[in-house]
Amino acid sequence: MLTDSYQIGIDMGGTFTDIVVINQKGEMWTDKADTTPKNLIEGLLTSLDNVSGQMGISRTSLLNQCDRFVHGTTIVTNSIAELKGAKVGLLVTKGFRDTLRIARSPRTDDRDHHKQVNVPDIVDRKCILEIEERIDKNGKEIVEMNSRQVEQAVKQLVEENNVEAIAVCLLWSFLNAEHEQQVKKIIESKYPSVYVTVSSELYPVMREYERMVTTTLNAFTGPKVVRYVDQVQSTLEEIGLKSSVVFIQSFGGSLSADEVRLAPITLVDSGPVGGVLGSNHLGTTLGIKNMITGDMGGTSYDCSVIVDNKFSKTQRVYLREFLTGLSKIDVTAIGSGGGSIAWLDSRGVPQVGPQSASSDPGPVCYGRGGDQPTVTDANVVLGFIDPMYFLGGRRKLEKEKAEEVYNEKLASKLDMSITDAAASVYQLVVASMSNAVRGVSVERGHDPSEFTFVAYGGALPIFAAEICREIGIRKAVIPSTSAVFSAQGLLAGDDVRNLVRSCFWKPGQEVDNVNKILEEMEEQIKASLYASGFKDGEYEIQRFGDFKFEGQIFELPVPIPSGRLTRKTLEEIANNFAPLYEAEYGPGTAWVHSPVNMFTVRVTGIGNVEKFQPKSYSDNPVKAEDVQKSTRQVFLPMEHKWTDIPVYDDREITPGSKFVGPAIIERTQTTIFIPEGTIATMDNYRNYLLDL
Amino acid sequence: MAKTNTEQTSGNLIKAEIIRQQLYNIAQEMGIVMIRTSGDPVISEAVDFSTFIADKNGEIISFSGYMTMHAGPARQSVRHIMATYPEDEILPGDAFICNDPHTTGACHPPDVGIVKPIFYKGELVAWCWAEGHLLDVGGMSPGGFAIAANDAYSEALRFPGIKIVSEGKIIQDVFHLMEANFRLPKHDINNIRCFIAACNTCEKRTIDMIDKYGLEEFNKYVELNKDLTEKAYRQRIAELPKKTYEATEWIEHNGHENNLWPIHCKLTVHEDSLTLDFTGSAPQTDGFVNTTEGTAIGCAVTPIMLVLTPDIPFNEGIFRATNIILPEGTVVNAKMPAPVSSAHMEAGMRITKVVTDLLSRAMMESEDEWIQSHAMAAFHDSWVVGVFSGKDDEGRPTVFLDMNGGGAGGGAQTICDGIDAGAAFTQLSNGLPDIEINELSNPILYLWRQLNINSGGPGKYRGGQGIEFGWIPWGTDGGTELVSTACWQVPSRGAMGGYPGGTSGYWSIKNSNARKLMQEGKLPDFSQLDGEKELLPSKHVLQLAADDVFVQFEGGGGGLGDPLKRDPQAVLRDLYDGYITQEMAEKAYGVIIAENGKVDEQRTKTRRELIRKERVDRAIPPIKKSNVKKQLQFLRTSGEALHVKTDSNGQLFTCCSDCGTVLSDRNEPWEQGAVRINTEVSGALGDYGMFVKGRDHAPYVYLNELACPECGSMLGISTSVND
Repeated sequence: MLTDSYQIGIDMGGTFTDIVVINQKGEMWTDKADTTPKNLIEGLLTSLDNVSGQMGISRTSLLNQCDRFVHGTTIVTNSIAELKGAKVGLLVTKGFRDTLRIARSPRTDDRDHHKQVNVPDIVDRKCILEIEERIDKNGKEIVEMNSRQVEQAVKQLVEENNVEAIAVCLLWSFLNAEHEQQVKKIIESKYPSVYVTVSSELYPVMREYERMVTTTLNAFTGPKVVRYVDQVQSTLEEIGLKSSVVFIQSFGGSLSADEVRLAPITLVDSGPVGGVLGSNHLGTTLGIKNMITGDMGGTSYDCSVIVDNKFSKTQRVYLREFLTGLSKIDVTAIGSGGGSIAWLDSRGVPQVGPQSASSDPGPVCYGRGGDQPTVTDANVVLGFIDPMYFLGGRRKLEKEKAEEVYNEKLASKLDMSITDAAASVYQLVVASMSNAVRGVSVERGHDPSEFTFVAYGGALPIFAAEICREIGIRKAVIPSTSAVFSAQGLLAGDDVRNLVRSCFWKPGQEVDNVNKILEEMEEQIKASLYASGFKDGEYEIQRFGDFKFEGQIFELPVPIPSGRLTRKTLEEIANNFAPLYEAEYGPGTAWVHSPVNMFTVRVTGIGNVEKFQPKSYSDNPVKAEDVQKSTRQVFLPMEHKWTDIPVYDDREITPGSKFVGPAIIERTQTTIFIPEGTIATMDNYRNYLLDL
Repeated sequence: MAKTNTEQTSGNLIKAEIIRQQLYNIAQEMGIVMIRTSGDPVISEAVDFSTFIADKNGEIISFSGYMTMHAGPARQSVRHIMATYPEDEILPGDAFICNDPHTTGACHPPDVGIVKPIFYKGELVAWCWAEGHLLDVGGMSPGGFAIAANDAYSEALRFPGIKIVSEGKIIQDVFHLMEANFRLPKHDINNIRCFIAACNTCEKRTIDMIDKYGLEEFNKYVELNKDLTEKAYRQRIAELPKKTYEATEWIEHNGHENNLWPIHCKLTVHEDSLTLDFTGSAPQTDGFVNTTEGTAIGCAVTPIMLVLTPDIPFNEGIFRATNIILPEGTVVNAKMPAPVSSAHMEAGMRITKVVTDLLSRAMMESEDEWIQSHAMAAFHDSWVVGVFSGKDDEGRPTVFLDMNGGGAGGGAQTICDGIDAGAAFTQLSNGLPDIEINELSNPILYLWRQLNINSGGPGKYRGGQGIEFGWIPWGTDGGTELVSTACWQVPSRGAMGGYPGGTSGYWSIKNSNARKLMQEGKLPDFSQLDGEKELLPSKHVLQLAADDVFVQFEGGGGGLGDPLKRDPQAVLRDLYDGYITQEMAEKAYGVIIAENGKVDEQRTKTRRELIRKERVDRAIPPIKKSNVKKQLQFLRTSGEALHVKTDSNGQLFTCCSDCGTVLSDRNEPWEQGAVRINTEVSGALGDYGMFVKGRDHAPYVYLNELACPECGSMLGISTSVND
């Protein structure tokens, strides 16, 4: 008998560690365990125990037969969110020790000056030391570096200040890395155990502030991540894993452990990536090309756009207040989640979020000490959520408490009924989530009516249809595993390597230097993919040049053909640049009289990974009335009326079945609301397709 | 569920809020269009622009969170167009160009605004405004800061709200006019196109919105939002004491002569409205520091927006309960032909400072906790101009406005220190350039850019710090440097006993040894540079040669609370972080650091007591000393330095928050009961290691310290001018 082979995806969040296992036949198991912040590996092992128990096999055989193990972790995100990381030393060019503090001006658009504060110091100010050296904009050394002074500085950092990691970021180092390399050699020869990040290796791109932030945050998170990666690898190896562990990165796709040790910062903010990868995989399976993804959790709502089965990337990403040079999948987050708190502003107008009761104490109806009205409480008050069937009945909700708090905090003050107050909150949530969707679609020139809304995360299916109606989307998908959809999505990505480097070129110039840089980058990427076991033919390489008009600041990545470039190839790209620029930034934005220059090159390597397809079930529709479990009185918030609507049980429903709104379909972990005029159909993968 | 369904009213509120959010989104989207389509570093990185939406009567209904002072010009431009064009000549698809301070209220001519009427089914329903700073708009001075101008005619090419787009078609004549008059016409015309694009986006989105809600609903909820803001604002005002407060600020150096021009303001708090009366301000001058009415209004509402009502959506409702009196022919409401090309930077930012001061004084006396805690010290509030014009390394003419000018410090808050490098108060979302970006595009090499030590005003909460930098011409033979800073001799005030911040200025070091040192392997700092060092006048034009070093330093925000009350550990931290010198720690904060690097608690205590005693000894006695000695009961705080207490009869007194001494009856000015120390300001702050330029001829600037007659706690500090 042929043994099954498994792929395992583990998505470790702040509260739960979700696990998904899929085999080559498309059979899938999902489970979860509590995340164990003190020793993360414990929660990870428990999740493996739980799922192998469910599958009826031993943990050892599950791991023995696993040929792909993808791990999404928030260790880097949390380290930066909580500012808990290594003690870092930073070496900079003399005269520029305050660059991190000046922070390109920390002023934001917040009108409340209690919130206008400096960017926090991630490096103790005494641990920022200046190096006597200088390179100019042509990459020319104009002040020689004094190695003796560097040695003293490094000694001071390590022996007096006891730093665990050192970041090095000198002016113009991306053009001439000589000085940074010298510094690195000095550190490595004297103190091999110190974690070192130099900016010209990690992120050799112009703009010293974000280069310095990126380099420093990498050093800040480095030692902790190295320890964790080592622990995960060795522990899993000991208990039977034969394949290597790969980690999900914010750029999309996964990264080998070795690469993670060098550039842990690439793991930051990878939380929403699984859902976006999963959506795209789902779309590919169902033949959907254009999607808007939405994920509603306890504290936030994330949305992103996929066009032609490609997700959009964003460059120069903010982490907290820190502007970095990182690229990642473009996800817009707003503070609207199930735990978001409703309140009255200074005008007496209701608002929702961004304050959240999150999962602890959670909404008032959980009865765990929450005392502020939340979005989930509104859903209970309105009748969307059955207080007796939350999480499949595992948790009883206290509807009376939710009503009381809506009365006390909102209804009595607004002189309206409790249901009206809850309906107001529902409407505001729909409005703000619709605005976010508008931001990723309409405002970027996409027509929402040509997109399908993929809605996942426990709380979103109550709102999904109304958001679509608000914004003019006509089709939505509620994935079969909407609550663990992100973990499943981890298995939908390839192995990806991504490098970026400043590389000036203007028409008329020779291209030898461009070719040299591109070749170096490709070699580096290939070496990394070979190290992960990919052979020629199993990967593809994409190259981009970021071009812009002289005098403007925005660059636009344009694909560059493979192989050795000639001057003519690049000049053709430059000549054809204006329409591409205008397609992105709008008609008339191209500075057609300015020369087009290239500033940066990017090389991406994609190691193709085999993905197991989910199992398809054939149509065998049931009649709606046969699977109706009850009728429930719901206050429809958009129509402002009480209506009796049928409730259907997902477990009884089979592919091909159709339901006409208004209706509710209950799953153990989520409630799907189908408004009037909407038809929901279960497809062959047990997803619901909504026609609006 | 006792209440009946009140869909009518509650529904209104929710719908009004949803519509407000969508309008705000549109104003923000206009900003995003500006940033994305311009790509000019001044617009896209320093975000020196603004976007607003107004209703059909020109009343502001939404604003996007960039430069707040443009609320004045935006409103004035629409009004001017409505007043000068017959109704039947304002047509769908039109757009108007406005940069004339004297008619359309522009801050100064380089701030070019595009105004577009929005029509729905042939009916005028709204207006929008997109404005940004252009690098050059002609006139005598590259970059537009016409230091030498005597009138507005020589300052720039001015567009008094005329059509640039007619029924959707761009009027090329206007561009031809620019080509003939601007120094960088291509660059500027590109930017104007992007302002037009932002307005077009607003038009499209607004029409979509009206399609969805219907015109009647749209108008109704726009109106309701103004009412909601007005009502919340009036309620806020009702929580302020019904009193008048007066203060004066001074414009310094008008480009021709180094005089001081007073801007006087009297704030009257009525039952539910405010009056800001600028009567008593100086007559307009023949230098570029005057402002016209539109900008003065924008600068006066900025502190209302940012200090008193940061949590209330900004719209016309604010104007309805604010009466601003600007006497004609003065520096705050100048008439033709007064030059105004630095209006917002000079008169404008002084207006912002004086109003911040007045509002904070009223707010700290409020019984409402939120209002009291939002009183604050002034920002440094000078955008420190440096414009280099010369040839770049390829021999092409270049105008380099260094956006590092937006690096001055912010004012201290009641809960934290002021923000560093926070720019002028009006500049929400300010951004400073990267060194590499500036060096790439301009013929200069920076020798350093760092925080300006000791620039933050001393206080329990320290003022935010400014930046300083030095550069040398690089790849060029040199060129002309124009400098202009508004805050050189009269520093920005602290609040509640906090000290002013240090001021801004410039050095030139002619024939420096910078290149020689670099060849020897040294990147010089200021102290290592030899050559002819000269502190430049605050408004000046000079030639820079290849070996000359240019140095610019920017001031800090005012402090809040007596610096002797600052946690000694925080002072130690500032010293450790390199933000203040030991001299500052000891003299301003009274903190003594022991040899082991820790705070010497005992000597600090002694030192602080000594400073308090010295204050009382040096001071002149109170104007009206209170002799109330009876037992009083604490009622509430009144800012950081004062308490309100009551006797058994319910009579109220203002007392020192530290020792409880009664300063005055609550109905009388507490200042009367304080001892006073008046010292020349540059010397007084110079003792702490701070920079404030001393005046070499009368009138002189004084620091007026008001301390508790018993314990010497600092209660309030202001500035004054006297012969």
